[in-house]
Order: sequence, then C-alpha cells, then structure tokens
Amino acid sequence: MSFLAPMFLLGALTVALPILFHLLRRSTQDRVLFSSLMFLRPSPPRFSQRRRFEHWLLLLLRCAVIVVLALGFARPFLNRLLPAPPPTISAKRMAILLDTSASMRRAGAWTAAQNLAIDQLRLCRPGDRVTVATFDRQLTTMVSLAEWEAAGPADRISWAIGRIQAATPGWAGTDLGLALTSAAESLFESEESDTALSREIVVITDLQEGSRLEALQTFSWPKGISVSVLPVAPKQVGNASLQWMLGSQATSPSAPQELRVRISNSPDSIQDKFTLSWEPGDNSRPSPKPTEIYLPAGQSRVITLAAPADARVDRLVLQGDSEDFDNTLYLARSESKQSQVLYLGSDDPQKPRTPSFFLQRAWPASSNNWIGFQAWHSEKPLARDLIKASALVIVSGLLPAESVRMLREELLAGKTVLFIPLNASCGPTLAGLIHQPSVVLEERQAKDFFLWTELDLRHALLAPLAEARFSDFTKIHFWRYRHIPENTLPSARALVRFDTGAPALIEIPAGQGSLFILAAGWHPEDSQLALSSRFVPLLQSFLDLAQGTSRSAGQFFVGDTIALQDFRPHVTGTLLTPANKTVPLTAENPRFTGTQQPGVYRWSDGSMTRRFAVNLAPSESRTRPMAIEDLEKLGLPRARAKSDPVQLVRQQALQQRIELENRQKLWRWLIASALFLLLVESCLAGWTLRHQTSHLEGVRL
Amino acid sequence: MKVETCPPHSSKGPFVDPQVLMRIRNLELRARVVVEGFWTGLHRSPYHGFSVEFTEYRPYMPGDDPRFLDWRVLGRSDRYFIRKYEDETNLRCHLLVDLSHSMSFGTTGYSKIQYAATLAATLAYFLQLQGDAVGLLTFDEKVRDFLPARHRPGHLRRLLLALEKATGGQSTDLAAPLQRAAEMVRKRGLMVVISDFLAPVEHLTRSLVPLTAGGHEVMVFLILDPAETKFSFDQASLFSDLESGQKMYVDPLLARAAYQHQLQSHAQFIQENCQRLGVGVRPLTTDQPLEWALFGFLQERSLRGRKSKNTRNTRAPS
Repeated sequence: MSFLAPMFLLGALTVALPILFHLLRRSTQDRVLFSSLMFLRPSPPRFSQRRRFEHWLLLLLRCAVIVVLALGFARPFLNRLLPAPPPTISAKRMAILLDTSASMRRAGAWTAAQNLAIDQLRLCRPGDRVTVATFDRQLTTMVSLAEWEAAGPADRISWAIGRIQAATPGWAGTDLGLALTSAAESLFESEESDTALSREIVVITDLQEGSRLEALQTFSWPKGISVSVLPVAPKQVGNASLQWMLGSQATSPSAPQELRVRISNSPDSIQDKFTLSWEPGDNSRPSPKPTEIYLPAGQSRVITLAAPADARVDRLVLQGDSEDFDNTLYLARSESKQSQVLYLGSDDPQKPRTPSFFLQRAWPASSNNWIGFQAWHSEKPLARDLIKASALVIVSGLLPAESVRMLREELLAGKTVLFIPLNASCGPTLAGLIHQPSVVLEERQAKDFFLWTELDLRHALLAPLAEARFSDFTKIHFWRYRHIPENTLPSARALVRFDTGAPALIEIPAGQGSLFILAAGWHPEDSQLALSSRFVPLLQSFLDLAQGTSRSAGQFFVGDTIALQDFRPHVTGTLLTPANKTVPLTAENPRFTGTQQPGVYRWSDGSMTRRFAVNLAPSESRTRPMAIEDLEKLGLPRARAKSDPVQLVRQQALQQRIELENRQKLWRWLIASALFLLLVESCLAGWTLRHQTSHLEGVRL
Repeated sequence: MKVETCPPHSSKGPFVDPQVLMRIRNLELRARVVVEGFWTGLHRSPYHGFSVEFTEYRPYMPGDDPRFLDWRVLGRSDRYFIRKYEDETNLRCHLLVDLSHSMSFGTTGYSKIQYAATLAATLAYFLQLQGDAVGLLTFDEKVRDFLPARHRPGHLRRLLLALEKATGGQSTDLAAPLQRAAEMVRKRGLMVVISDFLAPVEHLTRSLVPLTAGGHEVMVFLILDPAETKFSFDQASLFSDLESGQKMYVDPLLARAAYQHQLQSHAQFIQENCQRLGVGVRPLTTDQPLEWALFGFLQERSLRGRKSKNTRNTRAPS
C-alpha cells in the first residue's frame, strides 16, 4: 500500500493526545471535594512511579479514530494496480532566442547572455531539435532547424556554440513581443505532425523596460508551448540617454538653427552630473566648449542648443554616464532651402473667405524649409519655369488648355499637383490633367453637412494626421463638394471619402508625379477645413510629399528603412554608410535596409549630397529591468520549472499515483470507519460516564 | 470531649440504621419512624406527668392573686406563701439549622444537610407530639428562612417542607445568624443549633451570649461526617474546599494526624466555651442513629430540669 499524501501520516502522532488526556483525566479524578480545608495543611507533592490507565477500550477506540483519520487523509492506494514503469521522456523542440539589441552592449550583459545560451545548448539531449535565433527589432535565425539536423549529433552542439560565440550585439531596439510571437509561430508550424512534442522557447535577454511588447497583447499562444525567460544582469545599473526633440526652429533662413534635445536619467542611476559636447566626425577639430548639466536620477530635461556653425560637426556626445552605448546622438545637417508653392486660381488672395487667403497664411517657417507662396491667376499664360521652381502646384480653377498641357508634362516629370475643383465647370481642366476626354463633375449640396470618413491614415500623406491630436475629423463639416465619378479616373485611389461614399481626396499617380484631387475646398463656402487644426498639417504633408521629405526625414533609427520616395525626384544615386560602405540606390533597388549602425549616412547623386542621421531608438535607453510577471500578464505561457528529466519522471509517476488513488478511493472507507468508531466511542463513553457517576454518588458527594 | 462518639454499626442495637432511614424519601415519615420507635422502646417516660407542676414558693406580696396562696402552709404555719407552677405548654423551641456549603459534604450516602434536616424534623415531630411550639431558622452566612414557633395544625408540615427544600448555601458564619436569631426570637425558649461548626469559632462565645442572655435555653448538635472525624482518605489528592473553592494538595498519610489534632482542638474549644455558657453540646456523626440524638436531647433536657428543680428545692422554705 502506498500513500498519495504520506505527510498526513504524521498526524497519527497525535495518537499521543488521547493517551495524555487519559493520564490527565486520571489526575483530575484525584480531586476530592472536602467540607473545609481549615484543618489541613498542604503536603509536599509525591511522585508516583506508575500510572495506570482506566477505560482501556475507550483509549483504544480514540487512538484508532486518530490513526484511521490520519490514514484516510494520507490518501492510501494499492500499489499492485500500478502500471509498469513510466514512459520514457520524449525529445523536445526548443528555440533559443538571444537578445542582440543595443542595450546588450552594456558591460557584462552580452557575456552573461552567451554563457546562458551555451549552457542551454549543453543541456540538450541528442534527440532534441533546437534552433537558435537572435532578436532586436526583428528575429534573425542563427541556427536553423535544417542546419541543426544537418550537423552530426556529436558536433551540432559545439557548432551552435561556436555560432553563438561569434555573434555580437547590434545597435537596434528591442521588440521582444515580435521575437516571441515569431518564434512561437515557427515552432508550432514546423512540428504540426507531432502534437505531443514539448515545445519550449528560451529567451535570454536583459528584459529592459524599453522592450516592445505590443505583439503579445493580441497573440493567441498555441497549446503546448512554454517560455522560459532567462534574464541577464549587467554589471552596472543606471543609464542616461539623449533624444532629439521635434520642433527645432529657425526664425529665418539665415538665422542659426536651434536644436532641442531631451536628456533622461534613469531612476536607478547613481550619476547626476553630465556634460554635453559637439564633436566632429573626423576628430580633426577641437570640440566646442561642453555644456554642463545637473540631472538627478529619474528625471529628464529638454535643453536647447545652438547648432554648431561647422557643418562637419555632426554628433552630440553625453559624458558622465556609466553606460556609453547610447551617449552619442547624430545630427544630419541639411541646408535650409526655400520652397515655393504655386497657386493657380482666379480668387483674390487679399480677400478673406477665398482659398488663396487661407493658403498663403498656412505655411509656417520651419527649421529646414522656408516656404514662399506664389499666387498666379489661372487665366494668365503660365510659364514653365514658374512650375519648375515650385515644389507644389495647387490648381483651383479652370485653366487654359496650354497651361493644362504644360502642367501635365511637369506632372509626368515628377511634380506634385493638388487640384481643387471649386465648381462643377472645372471638369475640362481635370480631364486634361489626367489625359481623359472628359470628366463630368456634379455639384452636391448637403442638407446639413457632410463628414470625412474612411481616411487611409497609412498613406504617407495622411500618416502625420494619424496622431491622436489630429485624428478626429468628425468636427469638420463640409457643406458641399463636387462629385467625381471614380470610374472615369484611371488608377485613382480614394484616400478619404465623404459619409455619402463619394471620394473626398483622390490620388492619381501620373508618370513620376502625383495628382491629388480634393473634392471640396477648404474655404468657408465649402467647408470648415481651413478653420480646423488639421488644415496646416495637411498642407504641410502635401508639401513634404511633393519635396520628397517628411518631418522625420533626415532622422532615422537603427533598423529603419530609407525608402526611395524620401529622395524623390532624384531616384538614383549612392548611399555611403558610416562604415564607408557604398550602396547604390536605383529605381529598381529603391530601399536601403542596412541601417544597422548609428551614424550619419550620406546620399549623393553626383550633384548634391544629403545626410541622414541614424540614431539609437530612444526606447533602447530605458534599461531598467522589467518584472517577468509583466510578461505573464500578457498571457505568456511561462514554464513553471526547468524540465529536468528526473523531475519529469517524478511528475508522471505522481500523476499515475493520483489516478490510481482516484479510482480506488480508499479514503472514503477509512473516513466511514472513523465515523463508526466515533459513534461507538460516544456510546461507550456515555455508558461509562453514567456508570461512573452512579458509583461516585455512593462514595462521594 | 471526644468527637468520635459513634459506636460501630454492629452495636447500634435496636435503633434504626441511618443508612436505611435515609432511604425514606419523605422527611415526615423519617421523623415519625424515629420518634415512634423511640417512643415504643421506652417503658416509662421520664417526662410523664411533666404537666402542671409545682416549681417554687415565694412570700406573698401585696397585690398577688390570693387564689395562688398555699392554704395548707397558711393553716400549718400561719405564713403567706404563693405557690408557683410551671407552664409546660409554653415551651417554645427554635431549631437553628446550618445550611452552609460545608454541610453538603457526605461520604455515607447522604450529606450532613440531610442528616441535620432529619434530626430537625425528628425533634420537631417529637415536640409537636408533646404539644410544644416549634419554630425553624435556617442560615448559612446569614439567616435564610425563619418560621416562628407555633403549635397549630399544619405548622409541622410547613416546617418539614422548609427543611425538605433546604439546599446548600454559602459559607458558614455563626455570629451573624445567631445574633439575628436572638433579635428575632424575643420570647424565651429552647434554641437548638444544628451545625458542623466548621468555621472560625474564636468568637463563638460572643455569638452564643445573645441567646443565653436572652433567657433562652441553648443546645448544640455538632454534626460531622465520619470521613471528617477519621479523615479516612487513602490517596494523595487535590482537596477542594466546598465553600471557598480553594484547592490544596494533601497527602492523607502525612496530614491525618495533624488534621485530627486540629479537629479535636476545635471541638474541645467549642465544648469548653459552651459549658461556660451553660450550653449543652451533643456531637454527632452522620452514621449514628438519630434515636441517639433524640435521647441525648431528652437527656440534656432532663439534666437541665433536674438541675433547675434542685435549685428551686434548695430555695423552698422548710
């Protein structure tokens, strides 16, 4: 016979209690009631050497009750029904994820992570199937399953260890959620046939706060996968970081540029005095006078710095921090240039409530662009140079056929044109721009108002409006618009629609340029758009798109893709990385994805040069470790214990014992026996008490 | 005085064994059994003719009723003497029964309270038969019940009922109840105190003086259990005081001699003080026949009657 909970057998030791009580009861029986103690004096205690039990049967019954109860709670079962030995342990499928983000460059972190990964590999059994991957912003396979199985069982572990020892941490941010979900999907998909296989993901990371976990929020974990998180701790704690702030301004093209930078000091930092200094990229010139900053732990400050006059100074260095992997901030110095917006329309810009009146007041001075506004009456003959000098052309009226033809040619050459039909008679101009025989526009008047719906915020034009402060368009009412039949527009794409379903903003690619059609004007006769806070960002977005720049252009994070449209219209050229590696960018190879290193990347087409600063992701500087429980809150199926083979065998044996005990349920009989014994004991005790009482009355009071 | 006056059970003679007597549940029946057995056992009552009896002469004083002049003496000696008689029907007896908690003790199958109640009932029945008035006063540390002495039909039954419902009270205090009894009973009579006197008796004299000074004839029955007199325990035990609840570990083998010595001194003290006050003391243990108690009662009365008769005779004119 075996016991499922043998510790309860210790409860049988309480069998001493009834024996003790019987002895104690005997001492209480020695109490004698006497009429008066006035003639008595206390006697010194006399120790008796032998005690005798009375009521042996009662004592035995009470002891038996306790023993039977202890047996019942110990959950006994018969061993003979146990099946033979537990099954052998099957091989497992394991994915080791090694964090190679920039924060792993901290002192001691990477070495500890490598050692942990190597330890995991050495624990693998010959039948295990293991993949090793690194992750930062994305998951990169280091040792694939095919490579693991292709290598011999004797050599595969040492081979994989060699791969790990050769790896180095990168500079990108950490997307832990993406890495986990990708690994889980790959584990599950690769072993669909073997559903009984145990799958485990081992994550070796510094668990920094800045890790992205969004992918875990909506991920449904497949059954049978467990995740072991092995955190590594760097030798030092605390970190200070730098981050460029948006909104750096220049009051005029010739004014010196002012730059705002945020300095953050982590709560666990022990440093509070820092210095900021500009440094040249080639170390040829002495650095300017550094700026001293006092910043207590857990605080951040935004300070304004004057950009250095020397264009070769391209980095801002923070000194005084214990971790220096994120202490350099690169600056892309681009020449300020004047952009011109050409407005072709018949309305007077000086008169309020006209489109041009609002347009010429919409362009603010920015740090990188100085925008001029040029209004040209639509009926006047149009000069080609005027169009070429303008970054964006806005057409709001009926143009002469010659002007339309000229504009069409520039459009095909890469110009961006925004067409706003202020009335239904502008159809011929639109037809000329899209090279169609005719386009019929219909005037639509609202009973109350129209609204913009179905905004494609993923489009580059509307992406800046995706921020929460701009994304609410329900308060912008439109009174009328011109209905544009979509089927007459080749390859048109509606970026915004009215609540009637009619297109409100249409993009039509034409050659290397783009034509945008706004079905309703922004002036008060058509809508409230000009009076809303979205008007200026929308126009700025048109201009950024037309110039091939964006507000984030020139500032990239490690791992970002530098896309071709960022340099449009100049599509061919070469890109020079900080490591002096040259990458050609052509129309066929429009994207550069090799921003693996922070620094200033230079693009050149022979005639002009543009610089792009690639910095560390700001989140990577948040190096405080997060709690593993935060991952569990997101549904991470964390492995409860290390899957030790001996422990697994024990668990299986325990499960079989539980099953046997559940089938036999001997404890029920034992509890019933205990109740029966209690009943007998109660009857016997009652009888004894009555008998004893009657006997005592004859002897004592 | 020797406390242990009880002969062995085998020598109880013709009297009813208290063990047997106490099995009779009715108190009146118990009293009747004792009295009638006692009555029939006597061949000649020493108290027969105890009725209107001459007590003394005294010189005639002007104002005395001439009917009580002894004409014979006048004719013989030409002297005027008034002849006085005892009024035997005017005996007023009060039974003072101790109901303190220490009286609850008993090892003979019944407690001292039951024995005392039976004794009181016996005396009351006996006196009632003689035509005397009997009253009852129960006390522990103060007076509990009081029935004035009466000789009426039904009074005996009320008295017996009061005795039957008697249960153990609290601690014993002799001084206050006896003082109170002296205050409540103004007419002179017989006071029979039935108690174990297991209380400090340093002021016993002062407690009895109000009764004797009030002209009462006082008689004391000292009731003890045989276990109290012999201390017949054989095992060392934790003794618990019935009245105070105090506990004390006592080894009887070691404590018996000292206990008996203390008890003897206590009884001796009571005896001496009562003798000095002219109070008769009859110690009893609860295994003694009640007839003995009744006999002792009559004996004590007889002694006192003869004593007073002798005194009167010495005063009578020759």
